Amino acid sequence: MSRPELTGAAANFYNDTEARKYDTNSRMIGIQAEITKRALELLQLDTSFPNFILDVGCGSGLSGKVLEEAGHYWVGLDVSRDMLNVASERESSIKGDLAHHDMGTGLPFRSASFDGMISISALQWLCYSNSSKQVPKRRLVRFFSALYGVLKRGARAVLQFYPETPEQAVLISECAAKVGFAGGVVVDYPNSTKAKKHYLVLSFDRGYSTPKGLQSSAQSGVRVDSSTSSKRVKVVKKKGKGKTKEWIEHKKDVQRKKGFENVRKDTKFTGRKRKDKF
Amino acid sequence: MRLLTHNTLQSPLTSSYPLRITATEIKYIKSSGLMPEEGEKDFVKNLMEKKKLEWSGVVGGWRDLKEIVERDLKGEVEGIEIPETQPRPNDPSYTKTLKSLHILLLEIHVITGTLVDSSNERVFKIEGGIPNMILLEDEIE
Repeated sequence: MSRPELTGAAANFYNDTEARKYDTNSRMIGIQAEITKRALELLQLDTSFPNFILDVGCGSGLSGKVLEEAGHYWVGLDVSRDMLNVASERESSIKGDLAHHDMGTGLPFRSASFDGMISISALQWLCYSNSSKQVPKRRLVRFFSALYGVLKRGARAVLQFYPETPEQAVLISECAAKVGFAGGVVVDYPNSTKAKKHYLVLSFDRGYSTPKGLQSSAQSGVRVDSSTSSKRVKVVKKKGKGKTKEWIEHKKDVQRKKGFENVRKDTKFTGRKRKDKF
Repeated sequence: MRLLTHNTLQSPLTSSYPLRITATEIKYIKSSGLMPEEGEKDFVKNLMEKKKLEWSGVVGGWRDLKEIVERDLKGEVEGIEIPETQPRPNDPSYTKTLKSLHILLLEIHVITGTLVDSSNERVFKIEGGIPNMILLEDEIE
């Protein structure tokens, strides 16, 4: 998978041509809409009245469109002016408003302004530094502490992001826990490379436990909690042995979940050694 | 930029509130999708009753825009009345204020102009209806 984050600043990557491409790509539109719907579901808003939502990294307003369809009003922030230009041309944008801002420098809103916050495919940009003055961790903490301020008490935030490495997901969750948020990462379709999506769900409620990810049997993901976040996650690699019966069964299981059809059945012969003379 | 957004914006540097608006171009966009709805479903009414509006921001925004609205949107927007203090639901002028708020917060757009932080005179430009709140990395501590 290509990672535009590695090529430089978001404001440079999403220039006019790239922004237009993004906005008219039907695959992109479909994916973004789907993610936004899932994010709204995870947000668990009180829908008896129209909510006022903050959309960080709103881009060309694809996510805003979904918010509007759900009856909410929104304000979108983005660091790319070209993306915002495309968004402002969108005619249907009657309930949304835009501002040009870099989330790594905080949020320009008074306290308790919003009923909820979503961010679609934007948070991972904060993990990269594009100048000597940008320190990823400091930018993340600055963003989360600003977010803590602008949300109404009891509101939630859902941030979908693409971590490059598991360490990035841990770093992000640690920064969120540091400013006082509770919550965790929900991973949808953890067994698929393409459909796999990470959602960081944040809440003010200390006892808040994150909803389960879609189509996942095992509990996966990292929990944000002040008490556990300081512990390092150690990856212990097993050596030798090779292909045990468990390993084979697991591998077949993963393939079945991915939807492969030609996976051999598990039988009593699975993982058995052949006779020496064959 | 709508006044609804202005109502939430504060200076990212000094937390000064509200930001002073100087508008050179404004636009009135009437939209059927924004019509006031019944009861709880109405966004503006909801903002008022759940105390989500900062009244000083509404008053400040209207004070800054009044002149240009009366000059440029003559015939389109009329009869906006914003009291100095936030009215209560049983005040006689309440429904009228709601109507005014609906137009002021949702239907008037500032296209070109500036937002000024009155504590240090830092200027944030508004171009094409989008305020530029970008800070330089040097400006943050």
